[in-house]
Amino acid sequence: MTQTLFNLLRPTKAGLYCPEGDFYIDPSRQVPRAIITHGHSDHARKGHKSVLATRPTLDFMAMRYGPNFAGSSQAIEEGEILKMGSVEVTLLPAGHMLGSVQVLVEGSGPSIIVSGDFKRSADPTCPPFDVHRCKIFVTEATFALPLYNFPSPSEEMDRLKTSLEIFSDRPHLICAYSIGKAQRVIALLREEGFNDPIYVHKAIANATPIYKAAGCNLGSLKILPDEFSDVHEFSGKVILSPPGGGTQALKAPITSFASGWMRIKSAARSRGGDLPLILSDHADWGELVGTIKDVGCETVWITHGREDVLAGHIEETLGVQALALKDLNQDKDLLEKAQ
Amino acid sequence: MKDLTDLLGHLVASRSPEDQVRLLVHFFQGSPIRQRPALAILLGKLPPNRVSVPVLKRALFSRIREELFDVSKPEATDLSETLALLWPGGHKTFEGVSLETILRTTPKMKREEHLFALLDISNAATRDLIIRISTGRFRPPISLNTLKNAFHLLCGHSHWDLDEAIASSETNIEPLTQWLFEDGDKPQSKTASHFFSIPPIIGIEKETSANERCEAMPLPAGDIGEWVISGGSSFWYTLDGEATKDVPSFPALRGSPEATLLALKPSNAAIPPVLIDVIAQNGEDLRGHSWAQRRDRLDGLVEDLAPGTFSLSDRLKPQTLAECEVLLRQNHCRQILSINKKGRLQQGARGYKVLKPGPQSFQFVVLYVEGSLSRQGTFDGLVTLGSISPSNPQSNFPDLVPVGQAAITHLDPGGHKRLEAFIADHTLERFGPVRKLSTAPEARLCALVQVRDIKTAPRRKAGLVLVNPKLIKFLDEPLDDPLSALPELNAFAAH
Repeated sequence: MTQTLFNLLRPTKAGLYCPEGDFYIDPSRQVPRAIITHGHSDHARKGHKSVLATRPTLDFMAMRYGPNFAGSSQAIEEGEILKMGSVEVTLLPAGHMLGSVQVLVEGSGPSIIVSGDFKRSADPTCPPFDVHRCKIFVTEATFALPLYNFPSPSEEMDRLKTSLEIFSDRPHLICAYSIGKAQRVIALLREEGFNDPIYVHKAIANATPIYKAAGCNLGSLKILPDEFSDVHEFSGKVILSPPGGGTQALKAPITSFASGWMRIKSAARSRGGDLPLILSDHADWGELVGTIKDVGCETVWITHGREDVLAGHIEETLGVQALALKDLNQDKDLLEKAQ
Repeated sequence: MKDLTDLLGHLVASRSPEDQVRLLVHFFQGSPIRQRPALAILLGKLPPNRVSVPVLKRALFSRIREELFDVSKPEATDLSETLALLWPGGHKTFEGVSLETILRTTPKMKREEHLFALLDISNAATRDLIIRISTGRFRPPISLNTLKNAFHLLCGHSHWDLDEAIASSETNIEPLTQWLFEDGDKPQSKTASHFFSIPPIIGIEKETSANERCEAMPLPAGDIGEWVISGGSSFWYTLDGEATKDVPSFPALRGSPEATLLALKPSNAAIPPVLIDVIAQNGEDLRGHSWAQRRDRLDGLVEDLAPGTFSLSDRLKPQTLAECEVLLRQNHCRQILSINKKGRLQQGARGYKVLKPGPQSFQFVVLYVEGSLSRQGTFDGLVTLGSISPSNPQSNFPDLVPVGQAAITHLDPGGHKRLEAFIADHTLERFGPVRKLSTAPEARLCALVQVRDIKTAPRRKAGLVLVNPKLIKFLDEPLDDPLSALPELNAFAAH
């Protein structure tokens, strides 16, 4: 079984590689064939010979790297089954951001799901995480500490709305990643009935057409000018900008940073500004453990974060074999043991 | 703001005392009685430590694996926060639990059981607060001055008084928190209702003696605007200066089932008149009408009600708003209440001043500004305020007399320049403050100032002194009320 498993998917220095299908998933180096789970730069790199991803992900890559970000690219719908070599590949919604997917690889042996980045909480800009049963689940572990249990997005939006009510004469500057998080904040605000125009940094505005093309209505957006003639112009307005977006000229803004790291007070104090918003596009501890339970897997490979903590916890509480992908990649003994 | 933990989160993140004051005002202007424990916490009026950290840790480790604590503590670095975030239960499924809810829902328990039960039903932020309080690790995130400033502002439109609150806290607040965290063998007959029966620490009318005090405060149900009146063995309700033993039917008057009356006094205490005005009727905006016309409308409304329900005063029939205010002051009135467009009773509607025996707001002309830029690039300093003196018949423009100084902090440099420009433009002499205006006063040249009191001071040119002047804002909008004139201020001080 394990021999078959490593023919289906194996960790390499370039990333997860499927020998039977001859492709990599989210490779960190330039490869001949890559499947990209979503458009963030730590997963979607340029220079691959061929890229397979959802349409929004390809659009994000083209926006960031230019139209020649890869030798060739192919868009695939979520749920569509693609035969690659002797394996079948299906992309399932991951709920991380627009276009984000899990990669389901099925061959003659056990089925494997590579989750990429994912979350289970509400996000109006993308379909929710699709729970699909599998034998092996490859999960991220960004917030794999039991401290990280996030409040619901609507609670955080309530806090933002309260601040808008109290400081109605001040601009509210929300710092968020320009692709994914910023649009999610906008969409959540719209869901809460906030219909005023929202000012966005041009880095955020650049991604807006992709959201519009995907049918996501973000309401009235205005581009934040590079220079302000009247610092009072933005009083009472909501402004979204990536961190360090050159918004120092705003007059007495209420500053906010939207991130899961704001869960911890020390981080919130140092980076969260006046209104730290606990809003993450990654699964929190409860979602990570719950998802591993939901997919009913026998083995979990863990990457990106506190692998050791999550592995120890699920082995003890769920009885599921858990391995850190980096250990599997680097430690020959462990690799042999796993095989 | 949803609950105290929300407020604390905002306060901790907020770096500016001015912002903290605004947060406090917003929080406390909701339903004050519900927030009395919040006041105790913000004042640091908490009982001594009761639960040790090892006890909490043992309880936690009976719920989660100890290893998880060991790996989490270095990440959070703070012990209380780690315990709160790791404590299972309440994740995402519970709304923020207010202290009021806790008191109402938790039965009598022994100290630790009680605490653990609270933690089980609370969300992470509330758990953090409870753990800090119960282990003595809580530190108020604001200074007492910030809290006082917030209540100073609140006093402008409510009955609250922080000094009273602090003075009463020894007898009123501590039993609450002691009851929350006290040993199990201490008087456990106290129930949640005990908490609500404790006389409120806010809303005390200052003039009455201790055993005759009366209170007026919105209850938790006050969100709908209901004013509940209690105090003394029998109640008198007052309307427009007249008292009645019957409960007046305000819903009948306003056609609204949501709110009842407003004032209260023990029967043996002086009755504060309350002036009622109708500013809208059947969708018609009456604010353009004179007071006399509106009074006619009110008479018409009252006419149809059962005799004795309440009566309107023949004495208080002012013709103008200013006249109305003078009458109210002379009669020791507390407030003007209006019936708004929606037919609801409200305090201090637009264009109306809320009158208080404590802080008062006046509009003064800015005479002079002195100070310097702070390290943050904002302007800190003093504004010299002027009042209009009796006009010189030979002059077309008003003379100004300095009446006091108010501190300004964190004025932005743009605002400072604007003030400087005003002074330069309007100073007729070459140096010194503005003594005489060269044009009629404009709103932007005026400031709204709140004072605790105005006292006579014969040695001063103005003949009075402002007590605790606090600059609320520089006015940008047109003046609602006329500028405060010197005779009016002198009359106030003499009174």
